[in-house]
Amino acid sequence: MGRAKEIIVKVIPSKIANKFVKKNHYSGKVVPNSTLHFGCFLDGKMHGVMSYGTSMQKSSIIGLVKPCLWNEMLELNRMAFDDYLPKYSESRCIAISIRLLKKNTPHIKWLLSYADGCQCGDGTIYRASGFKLVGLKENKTMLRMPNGKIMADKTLNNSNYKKIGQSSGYWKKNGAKPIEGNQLRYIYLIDKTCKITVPILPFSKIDEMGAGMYKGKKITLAERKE
Amino acid sequence: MGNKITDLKFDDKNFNKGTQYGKSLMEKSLSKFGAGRSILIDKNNKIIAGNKTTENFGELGLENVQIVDTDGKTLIAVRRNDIDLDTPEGREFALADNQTAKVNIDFDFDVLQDELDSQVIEEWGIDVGVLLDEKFGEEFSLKDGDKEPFQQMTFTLADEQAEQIKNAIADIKTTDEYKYAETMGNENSNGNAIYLIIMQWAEQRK
Repeated sequence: MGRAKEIIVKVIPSKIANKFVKKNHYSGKVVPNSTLHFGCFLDGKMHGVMSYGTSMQKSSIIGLVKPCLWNEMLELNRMAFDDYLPKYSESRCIAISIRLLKKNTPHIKWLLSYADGCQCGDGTIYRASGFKLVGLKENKTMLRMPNGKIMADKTLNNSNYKKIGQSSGYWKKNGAKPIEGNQLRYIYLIDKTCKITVPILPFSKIDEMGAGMYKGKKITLAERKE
Repeated sequence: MGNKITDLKFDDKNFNKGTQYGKSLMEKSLSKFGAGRSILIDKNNKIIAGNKTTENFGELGLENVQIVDTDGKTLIAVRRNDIDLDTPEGREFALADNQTAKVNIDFDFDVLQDELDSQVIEEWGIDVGVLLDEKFGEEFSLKDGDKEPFQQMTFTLADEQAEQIKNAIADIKTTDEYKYAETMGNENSNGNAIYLIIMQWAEQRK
C-alpha cells in the first residue's frame, strides 16, 4: 500500500471538485448529476477527486439491484487523480469513500460505475475495490465527431442540439462514428443482503471480448499479470 | 562607488525554490557569458528578484555589484559593451538568458500562500491547487427513501400557444371546480389547474 495509506479523504464543495475534474479527468468534463464530492489529499494538497451522484438513466438501472428504493443507490460519476498520487491510491480512496457513505448515509445500498474501455481503462481499480462486472458491451454511444471531438450521443440528443437539428442521428449520417472499444458496467454492493438481478460476468470475459484497456492502451488482463 | 555582493540581503521568503537543472544552466551561463540582465533589490538592499543569480554569481567567486537607484519610472538597461547580439555568441547568450530563467522557476506554494492571498496568486496565473483545510469535513447527508410521487414535465410551445395556456390556467383558477378539485397532494397550483383542464376535456370526450 505504501504512501497511499497517508491519503486523507474529505468532503469538498462541487466548485472545487469540478475545477479539478475539468483539469485532470481525461474527458475534461464534469457530470452535472454529481452531488457528493470527495477530495483526496496527500502531503496537505488535493491530488484527486471522486464525484458521486444520481445516474443519468436511473429508471433503467434502479432494478439492477433489489430491493432498492429510488434514493438508495449512487453512481460514482467521476474519478480524477493526478500523477502525484502513488500506486493503489484509487482503490484506497474508494474504500474510504465507501466507509464514509456507510457512516453518513446508511440507506445507500449499492454503487454503480462505468469504465470507459474506449479511451481510458477497463476498470482495474473497480475490480481491485471489490466491484462486480455486470455489463460489457461494444461502444455505440461515444461518438468521434468529424472535428475530432468526442461526444456522448445522449448529449447530442438533448433539446439544445435537437433544436438546431444536430441530434446524434444527424451527426451519425454526417460523419460521426462510435469510437472503437467497450463500455463496462460495475456494481458494488454496500448492503450485502441485496441481490444483483443481472448476471455477474467473470473478469475473464474482458479478455474474451478483447476489451482489455489500461491507461488508454489496449492490453489484455493476462498481459498485465505477466 | 562599487558595491560588493555582501552588501545585498537574500530574501528569506523567496517564492522561487529554483531547480537543480536551472542551477546548472545558470552556472554555465554565468561562466560562459558573465552577468547578463540585472537583479532587482529594494531600498534596504534586499533582493526582490535575482536571489538565485546572486547566489550562483557568488559561488563562482564573483563579487562586484553596481547598484543603480531608480523609482521605477526609468527602465534600467544593462549594456554589455563586449557583446554583439548579431553574432553566434550574442544569440546564444540571448538563448541562455531566457532558458535559464524559464527552467529555474519552482514556486514554493507554502511560502506563497503564507505571504499572499490565493486570489492575488491566481491573478498572476499561478494555480496553487487546493490545500487541506479544516473546513473540509467528513459529514454529509443525501436524500433517503423512494422517489417523490411528483414529476416535472417540460414542453416547448409557440408564443401564441403559451399565451392561450396561461390564460386557460388563469381562468380555471377563478372557478369553484378548481377550488374543490382533487389535488392528490400536489401543491403546485399550475399543475393542479392543467390537470383540471385535461380532466374537463376528457369528460367532454366521453
